[in-house]
Amino acid sequence: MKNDPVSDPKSAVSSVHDMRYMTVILTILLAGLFFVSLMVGRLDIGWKEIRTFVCASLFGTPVAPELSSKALVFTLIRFPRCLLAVFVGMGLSISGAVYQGLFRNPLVSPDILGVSAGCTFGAALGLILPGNSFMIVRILSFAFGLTAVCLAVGIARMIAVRPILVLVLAGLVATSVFSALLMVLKYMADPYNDLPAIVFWIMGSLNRVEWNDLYIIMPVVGAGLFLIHVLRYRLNVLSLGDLQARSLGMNPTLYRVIFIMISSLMVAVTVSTCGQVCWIGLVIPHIARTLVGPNHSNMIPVTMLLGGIFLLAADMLARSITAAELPVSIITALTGAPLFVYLLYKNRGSGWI
Amino acid sequence: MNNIFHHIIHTSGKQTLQSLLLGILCFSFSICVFPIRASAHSPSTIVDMAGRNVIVSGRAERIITTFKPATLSVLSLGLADRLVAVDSHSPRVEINTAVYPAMRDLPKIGNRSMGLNLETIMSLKPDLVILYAQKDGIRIADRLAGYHIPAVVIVPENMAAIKDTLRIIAQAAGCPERADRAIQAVDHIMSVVGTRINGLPDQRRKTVYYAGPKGFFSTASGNMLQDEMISMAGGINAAHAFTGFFKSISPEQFVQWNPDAVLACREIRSSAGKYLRKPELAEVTAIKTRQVFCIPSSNAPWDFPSPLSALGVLWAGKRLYPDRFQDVDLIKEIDQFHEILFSRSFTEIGGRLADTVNP
Amino acid sequence: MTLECRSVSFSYNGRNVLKNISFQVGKGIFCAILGRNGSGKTTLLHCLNGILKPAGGHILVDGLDLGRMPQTQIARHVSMVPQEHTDIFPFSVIDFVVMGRTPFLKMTRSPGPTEYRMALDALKTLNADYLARRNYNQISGGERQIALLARALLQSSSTILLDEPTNHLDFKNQYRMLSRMKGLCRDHNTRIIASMHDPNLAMMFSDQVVMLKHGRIIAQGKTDAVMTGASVGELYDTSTQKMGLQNSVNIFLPADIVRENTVSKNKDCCREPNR
Repeated sequence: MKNDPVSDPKSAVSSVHDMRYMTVILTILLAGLFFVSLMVGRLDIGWKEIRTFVCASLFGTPVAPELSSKALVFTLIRFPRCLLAVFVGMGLSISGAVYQGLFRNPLVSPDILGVSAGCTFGAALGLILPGNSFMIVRILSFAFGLTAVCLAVGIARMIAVRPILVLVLAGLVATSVFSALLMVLKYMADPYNDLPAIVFWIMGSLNRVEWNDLYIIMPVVGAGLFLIHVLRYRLNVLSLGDLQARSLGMNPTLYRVIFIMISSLMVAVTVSTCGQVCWIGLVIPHIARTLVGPNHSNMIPVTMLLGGIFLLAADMLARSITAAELPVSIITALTGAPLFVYLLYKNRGSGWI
Repeated sequence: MNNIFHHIIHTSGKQTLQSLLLGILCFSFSICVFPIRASAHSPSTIVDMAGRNVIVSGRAERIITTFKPATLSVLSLGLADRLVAVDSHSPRVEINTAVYPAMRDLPKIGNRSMGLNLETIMSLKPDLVILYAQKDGIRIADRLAGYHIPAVVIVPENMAAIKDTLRIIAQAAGCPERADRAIQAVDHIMSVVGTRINGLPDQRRKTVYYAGPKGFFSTASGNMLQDEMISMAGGINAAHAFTGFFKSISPEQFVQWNPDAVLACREIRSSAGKYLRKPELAEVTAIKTRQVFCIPSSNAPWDFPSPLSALGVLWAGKRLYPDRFQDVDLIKEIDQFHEILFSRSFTEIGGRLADTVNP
Repeated sequence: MTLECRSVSFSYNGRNVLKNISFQVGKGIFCAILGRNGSGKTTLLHCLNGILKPAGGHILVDGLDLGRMPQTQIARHVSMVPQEHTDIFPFSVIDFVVMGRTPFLKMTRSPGPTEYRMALDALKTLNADYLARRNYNQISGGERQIALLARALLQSSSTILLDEPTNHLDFKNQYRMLSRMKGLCRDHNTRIIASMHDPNLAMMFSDQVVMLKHGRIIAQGKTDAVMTGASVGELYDTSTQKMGLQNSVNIFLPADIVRENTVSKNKDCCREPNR
């Protein structure tokens, strides 16, 4: 290994091609798991029944009356939920990968700039306000999530030295501010109605999804995934640090702003819909790096697919294990944390932990 | 062969990924254009306790309850056999399984704390779902209504609301006369109490401290059911001036109030005893005279919202003013009440008052 | 075609770091920038590749004014081997080197087989293609320098700036690195501008030298002519002697300090213990 001359450029590049195989395998796995998840749940729906329901939706062919409630469950509950799991998983894992690249630190998660804290505060505010409009909760959650990020970025720009370190500190400030404000809200909230609603919301679950939510999430997350995918090579250069990035002709500040904006939008729209789903943004990029290496050209598509697979599987468990709905964060944390430790252990010699 | 495969993967790997994603997107957009409709709906409309207009079928045969007060109300109306599913906490309340043992085998649809499983609810094809107002109860009710499943929200916070609950559920189930029967039984108990504390002058009313549920020094404020029950039984809630929900107080406050009696919530029954021995509380009237009781009963909490709260009032009256309630045979009234509501007497289903607090 | 500095000045926090810097470096020339720590060497290099904008004066590379060019375009003409040696993501060396093509890639493009081929060629030029699949974080300091040089070569083969390239290298690798740099000048007509802290290495390898003291040029020109005992002594504020060795190699020694320490060597140390 030490002295074998690499004379054929293709073999030097072939690591890139190997990773293409991985992407194809994962895509097939995701598609397969998606179809399985459509059939799994407290209610068993068979493949033939799915075909019937799909034809009914597309072509209007009638559904046998004894299947009508299953059809309703499939089109209005199961299908959107599986779709949401895929999109949320992809969005959160890619945001984690982007943040880890931007901050050049493998311990970073998308919450570092305070998005989750802001979203949670916004949702709590919406839940406390009189009236039952759930759109208000969504909108406030999203708005305050972005506000938290802007606060963090604003503080960092004001201080303007050591950009990475200051961004982390500014993120800490933003998180603390909104956590404190959340505590104030909880203290003031009606403990019979509002406070349990807030706690319940924060737990995070995919079971509240409706098609209306997907109409927003799919385009936002889809666009975010696409943009990050085409810009993924720039993360390699950014991860070298501002000095080297500038020497290589890149404007690091511009790209940082672009990446932060796209990721924050994706995370905000996700958290404002499903509450906090933890560990996905932190662990999935590590798994991807372990599988295909840290080159973002390979690692970003793999992260995306793994995120979709992981959350889809976790949600499948969350909704079928017990009669009660488990919040999906429980499953992601219980599997994510040990997995993370294992990966840290496995990669300890690679020179970057 | 290898090269061809290699070539295909090389050129179409990315395309495969992109087109699959695109495919999923198109598929899902097209599906949502044609939602499937459920079966036809029926005429009558009722207004539930969240102010929602609910269209109900004439007679509900498949009922799902999502929290304990709803289940107990359904049982009180004698509609247990129409239940097709309950929440996971309901079977843990002894009286529920004593009255309707088959409840243990019913499918469970989740609970209020962790969330409800919509798939299970819908797969059981209910024609009436009874929900709570907190957390996402109203939202789920609206969603079910959108799928043409009648869903009512109940808010049983005080005695009047408990009666309303019975009326609404009975009406939605298509048997309003059952509510009348149950409400009559409740009113009878209330009049038994009312006649006996009628004319009790204010200065002779006893100050009562309600202890629980989070600990001995948490109590019920003035707008809660427990406060109402105490005043209906002729007492005065020491914490009547508080507003809100359960409130924590300091031991000094307890001593300053110097209640004549303490009614302890069942949940703190085991720990309440040690407060009888505390030297700093020894001078408080209730403790000195050993007027510290645990609210019945062994199979259901009578201080939480349900028709049984009426029994709680009767029992409290008897304990607070034994001389005025001398002629009342407590167990007989309780047995009779249970007969009307559950077709079996209290003693028959193994109920005991269990209202002593041991130091 | 030359790289030309005309009256360049730069201030930072009110301090004048560079004053009135003017010099020219032609193609294929190895130019060493000498000076003490804090004399402005790194600042000058950063001005030359566009990272810092000079407060006054012009920098022209092959006739193009750096002040009027966007950073991406500058990066196509001038590349840099930086001083820092922090750990990064565990990229393979070839993935690292190929980043030299960044200024030539459109915003949404990733490097493809063509770029990787060019990266491999850059490594081959430096006889280092065996490094291609190695993990950047796990190779030695000397090998990292070569990877950085390959990247810089890939980025621009016409002008390469190096910031103290021999800093972290051991005895042998210092000479090897400088030899490779010299080779690039010779074989590829690359213009190399390197800040150095050792006047002896500069004397040995550079064609041209610029001496910076407190942000001003105190001497510049052909190495053999400009580097004398007096000029080096003034640069480092210590009396210096220039001594000739065989093969017309010259070295500089701070005479007083050396004399003091060679004369007074402790003759009693390292004696063999009595058996």
